[in-house]
Amino acid sequence: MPAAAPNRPAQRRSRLEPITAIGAAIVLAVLAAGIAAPWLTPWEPTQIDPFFFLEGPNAQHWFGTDGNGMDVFARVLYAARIDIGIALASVALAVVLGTAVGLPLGYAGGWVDDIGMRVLDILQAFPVFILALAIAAILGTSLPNLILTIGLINAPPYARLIRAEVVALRHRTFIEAAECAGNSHSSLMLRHLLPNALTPILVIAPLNCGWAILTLAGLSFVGLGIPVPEAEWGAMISAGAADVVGGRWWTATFPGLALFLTVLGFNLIGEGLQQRQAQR
Amino acid sequence: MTAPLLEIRDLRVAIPTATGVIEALRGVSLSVAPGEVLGIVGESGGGKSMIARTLTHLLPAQAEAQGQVTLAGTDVMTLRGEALRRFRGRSVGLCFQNPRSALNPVRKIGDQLIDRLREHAPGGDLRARAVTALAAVGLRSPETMMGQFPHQLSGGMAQRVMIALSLACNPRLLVADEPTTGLDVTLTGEILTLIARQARDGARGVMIISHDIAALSKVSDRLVVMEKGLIVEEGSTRRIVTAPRHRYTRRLIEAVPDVTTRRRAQPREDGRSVVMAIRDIDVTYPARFGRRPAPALTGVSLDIRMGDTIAVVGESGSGKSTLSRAIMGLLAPSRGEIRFRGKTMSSMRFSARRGLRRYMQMVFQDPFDALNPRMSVEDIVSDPLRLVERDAARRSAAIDRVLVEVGLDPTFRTRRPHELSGGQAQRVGIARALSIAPELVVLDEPASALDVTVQAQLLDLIRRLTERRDRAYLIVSHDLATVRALCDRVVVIDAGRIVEEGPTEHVFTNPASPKTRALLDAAPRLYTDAT
Amino acid sequence: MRIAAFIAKRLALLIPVLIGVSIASFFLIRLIPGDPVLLIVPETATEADIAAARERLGLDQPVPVQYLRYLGGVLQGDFGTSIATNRPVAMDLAQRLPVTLELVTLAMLLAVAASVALGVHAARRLNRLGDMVTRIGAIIGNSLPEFWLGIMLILLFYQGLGIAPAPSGRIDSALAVPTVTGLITVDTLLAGRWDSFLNALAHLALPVVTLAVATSAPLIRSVRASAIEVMQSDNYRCAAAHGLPEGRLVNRYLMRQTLTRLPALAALVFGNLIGGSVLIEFVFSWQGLGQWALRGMQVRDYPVIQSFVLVTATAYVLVFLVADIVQAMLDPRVRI
Repeated sequence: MPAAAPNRPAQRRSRLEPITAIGAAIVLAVLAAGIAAPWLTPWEPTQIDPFFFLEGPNAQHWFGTDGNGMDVFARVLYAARIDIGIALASVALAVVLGTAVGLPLGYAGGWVDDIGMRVLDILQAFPVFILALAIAAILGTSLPNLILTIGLINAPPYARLIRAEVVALRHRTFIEAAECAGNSHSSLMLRHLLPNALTPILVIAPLNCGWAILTLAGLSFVGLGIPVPEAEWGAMISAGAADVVGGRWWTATFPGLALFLTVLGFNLIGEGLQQRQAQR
Repeated sequence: MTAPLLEIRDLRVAIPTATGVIEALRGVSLSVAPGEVLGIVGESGGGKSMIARTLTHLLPAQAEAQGQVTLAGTDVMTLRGEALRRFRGRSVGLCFQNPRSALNPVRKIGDQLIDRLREHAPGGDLRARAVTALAAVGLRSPETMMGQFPHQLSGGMAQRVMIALSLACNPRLLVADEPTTGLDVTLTGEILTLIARQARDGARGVMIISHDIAALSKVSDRLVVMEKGLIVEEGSTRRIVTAPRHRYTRRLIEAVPDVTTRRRAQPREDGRSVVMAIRDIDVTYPARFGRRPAPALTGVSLDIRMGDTIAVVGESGSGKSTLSRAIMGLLAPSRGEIRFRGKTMSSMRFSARRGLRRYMQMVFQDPFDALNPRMSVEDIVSDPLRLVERDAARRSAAIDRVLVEVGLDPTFRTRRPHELSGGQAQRVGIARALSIAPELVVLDEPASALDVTVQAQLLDLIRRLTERRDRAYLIVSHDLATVRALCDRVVVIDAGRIVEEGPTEHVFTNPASPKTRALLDAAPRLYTDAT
Repeated sequence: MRIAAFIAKRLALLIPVLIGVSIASFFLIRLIPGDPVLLIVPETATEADIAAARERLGLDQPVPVQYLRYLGGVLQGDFGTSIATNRPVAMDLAQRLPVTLELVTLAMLLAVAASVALGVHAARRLNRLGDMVTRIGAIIGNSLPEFWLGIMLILLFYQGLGIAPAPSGRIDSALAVPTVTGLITVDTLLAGRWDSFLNALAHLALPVVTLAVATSAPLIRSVRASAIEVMQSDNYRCAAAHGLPEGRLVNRYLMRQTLTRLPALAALVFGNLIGGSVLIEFVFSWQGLGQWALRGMQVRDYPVIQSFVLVTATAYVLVFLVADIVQAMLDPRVRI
């Protein structure tokens, strides 16, 4: 028997890491539950049950009710829409912004790159969550503003990542070969550099979605995100924090579990993708 | 005949991977006697490194090894724990392939050496002994080197340190795995001689693993030839080199470039048009923060005429690659001018230079690195073609034509670079360069990254192409021997200056510059009588 | 001597970054469209009040002049006056900064120590049980919202088991000691009050653990990754192939190279800790910088927001400087 041909790893491409699959399943399940919420619970997220204030889990209110008499289960489900929605939108914004800045910087090199990098240095000298707090406090807490805030503070790392990839690729022979082949600047950037620089971005993106949800929930937790009575996990935990000391555990625990599970799902996807990339 | 120091019987190594089991060694038997230098030769993937890894228990974790390996009376395969640790180093001293990465980057050379001495040969003033050990491998200022870190060493120095580290363990068997990768011809000879000398005391055995049969023929007593995990031929170096029996051995030997093979085709008579005129150019790499600008080329002039094949030869760092990049307009000369097709290219802007690209193309040294990993072969080959040929059908026909021209089947069009072998990848690179029918093709070390047998085939393709004389070729190489059969003129470059230039045969028979003579002497050749 | 020159060079490089940081934090409040004065004065203000406020705040001057005045003030320790409380911002900063620094520093020490131990342990047991547990733990730690974790720990250790003190500050009021340094552990020891010291430690335990757990995941992962990389490197395998003893191999070859990469990462984690401390202070009623800034943010108290951003960013930059210097001392390849 001849030795197996080592240069045909074609079949491996389509296979997913098991943890990626588990993570994707979690995220999809949470998202599906959020979308299907009207069929899963009779309660509206902001509907008040006048007979139950701060009641523990029971047959009518599976996760109990909060201090306003709203159904925690319904609120946890509906919150998935807003949390995952904002996370995906803000990460998409960050990727687009980061690419638009990082690609030309890395390609141009020289003083353009130097100045660009110094500006990024300065932006990254701010601890991210603190910048998020400050921008959210100043811009105000409308939905588009939150997407903008989380997207903006997330863009510099992407710009840096893309730029680093491009700088590393810039002196690879195949880019020189493409230059010798007569490609224009835009063709070199978009046709040759971008597809090769994108992989690490796409690997980081799921991890970033998890992080974006945590940021949104953190902002809401301290009252600088989605305002009450809108259903959002962080705001719900915040409202429930005071109940805990009185032993009423359900108002903070259930939204926290949902939040944790969703972030875990995104992180598992990211972990699997990273492992896969590391094996290459 | 003395009893063998190392005896390997029917060694089999299988490595399960996602795509199936790779049988790296398929029943290998060999022996090394005390005082003997054994050379193991074969191409990459032949399994020869697995022998060294088996000896030191460094096989990949999932690998399965069977067979009998005895070194100085010890059964190597069953060693575990403390016994293995004592065996490692003391019985087998392994020199790693890439010495730079095999040295601890954050520990001083001296300390790394003393680590070994303390463990395997304690006693006396360890520091003084370490200095002596560095001096013994031919390092000039061992005292200074004791306090240096690996990144401060050159490649040749690092390999000497690596040898000193292996010898510090005072091993019964010294094993060197591809010890000369990345070193130029002159250093290769020196390092191999140093390694082989370690068997001279008559007690120690030496095993050198290499792909370079010419270099091995100089230093080894016996040769073992490996192909695809099997030993295909074994015998005294002299016998193997003069009377090879196996066809694979013959291929290896034929692939050694012969410095005496001349170019058959005669150059055309004078009066042909000058495609490119290089006039007195300097290229200086820009000053980095805290560093001085480094001149890479000084006062270089060269005419390239239609139908010519010119070789630019020099050692690594001589500036030959800088010259090819300047010709291609990838670097701008700081002085002088480059005229191409009557236009001063060196002062053009990027967009104007783009218009000239269709008349000049380049083939790069590392075939894989030169192909965009995300593109198919047809996209790669037609990349330059897109500039001039808008019609998809005609472009497609051109791709097929040029693939056949470089000896590839048109079915290769849909493949991606990772599905190609090194030789195929380089052919795709050549196809890309030719697809647009350029007037000048620059080939930068086109074969040096390939296995020897593939190298010969590729050089053959290049020779046939150049003999058509329908365009100008410039071949950059570090190896004079390979270019003799390929080119009409030779330019020898050293320290950024042209030191000799002339018709090929004239340069080979009457080298004027000492540098040319040094390069000629260093050319690999088979040594038929081991001394 | 080389290190001294290196530090001097790095400090010089720091100045433009700090100037940039000050410019960025100055312009931050100008992100909002419209006249900043309208956001500062009360809604009942008259035209004359607005004009007076504009003049008092120097907002009638050209923007570069405003910036230079602001910078000049900051350099003299004048961070402006809080709109909400009318107290000088600098006074609040001086009082609150040590409180947060103590929390963050202890969390950082705990996170780094735990990460190195766990990361190296996992790498040496690659793909075995210890490694699996560590990796799963790191993913979970990375997914936990720190504020929720804090609440859950309160639920368990205070509400449930009753072994943790109430989440209401740094020390029981009965055991309070006079403020000297602002660091509660130091102050209690200075006062010679052993009982206060232990009480302060008990109050510190949950917030410090919460912060450390929530931020050490990336550290564990990268320590593990670097340790694996070292163990699979030619240089480590070469040392092993030359039969060096286990202890030397682990200390001089594995740990030494793994730790080389730690400082930069630890600095990054410091940034996360500073951010996380705002949430944790909120959960544990910790009267530190975060709580103070948060109150400012909720009422858009611009001088407070601006100073908070400037101070945390400066601290972050300085921590990076220290990390750079430590790295340069550990790694001979860094050009000094």
